[in-house]
Amino acid sequence: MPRFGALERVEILAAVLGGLWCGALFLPWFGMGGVEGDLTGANMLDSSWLPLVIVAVASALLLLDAITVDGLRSLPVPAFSTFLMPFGLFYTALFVLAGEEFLYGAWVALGLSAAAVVFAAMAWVIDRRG
Amino acid sequence: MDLQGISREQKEMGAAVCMLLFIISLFLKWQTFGPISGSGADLGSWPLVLIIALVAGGIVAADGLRMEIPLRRMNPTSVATYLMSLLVFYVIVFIFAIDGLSYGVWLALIFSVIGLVLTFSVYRQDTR
Repeated sequence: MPRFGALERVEILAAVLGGLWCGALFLPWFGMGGVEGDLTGANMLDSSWLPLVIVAVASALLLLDAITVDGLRSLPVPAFSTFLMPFGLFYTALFVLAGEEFLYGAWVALGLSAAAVVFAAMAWVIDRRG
Repeated sequence: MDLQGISREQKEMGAAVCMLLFIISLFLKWQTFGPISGSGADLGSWPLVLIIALVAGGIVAADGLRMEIPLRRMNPTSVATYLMSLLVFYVIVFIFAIDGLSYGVWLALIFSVIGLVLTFSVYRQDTR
């Protein structure tokens, strides 16, 4: 079992939260009054794949950096992931601000994306301190 | 296009003007569907985008006018660059999502991208 330092642990946590946010996109975010079923984060817009890809890439990079993949040494992964991760939070916030009849999925996604941003930023701060 | 011939202040004021034009483009026609049309301001989340554009434009305008910005631990142009990248993301999300795109959405994309390029160029200058 490899021993992880503070940076790696925070990176893994941010990656897991980002991955869970990708899953939360497929939970019901808004009710439709029971008429046409519920709207998930993914079927709300045809372009939901865009934030999904961005957050998945950020999470994958953090995870690979935590388990020390050699090819990533030239890329400042914590900084780059801190740049990418808030796009998921922004996408969620757009719909939370605009929508009505919220279901649990919207709140789960909001919480997960906010936590993923906080932990990605923590990883960046730890990485900068060296 | 060579951005090195443009002064830092000119880039910042250019980016601030782009943010103003982006805000105006929010109220132009983004979608046409037969006789029905909608603007960017018909999207429920437009106030958030308006605030982001105002803050980003305000930061670059204040920096360009050499005003004191109360951001002690952060580079103001990095904050503005980040906020403008969110605006580009917002427009691209809706370009892929809506049918019957109209001129307003393309103008919003152009102004947000030009604003981002100008601000990023200032940020690169700062960090070198």
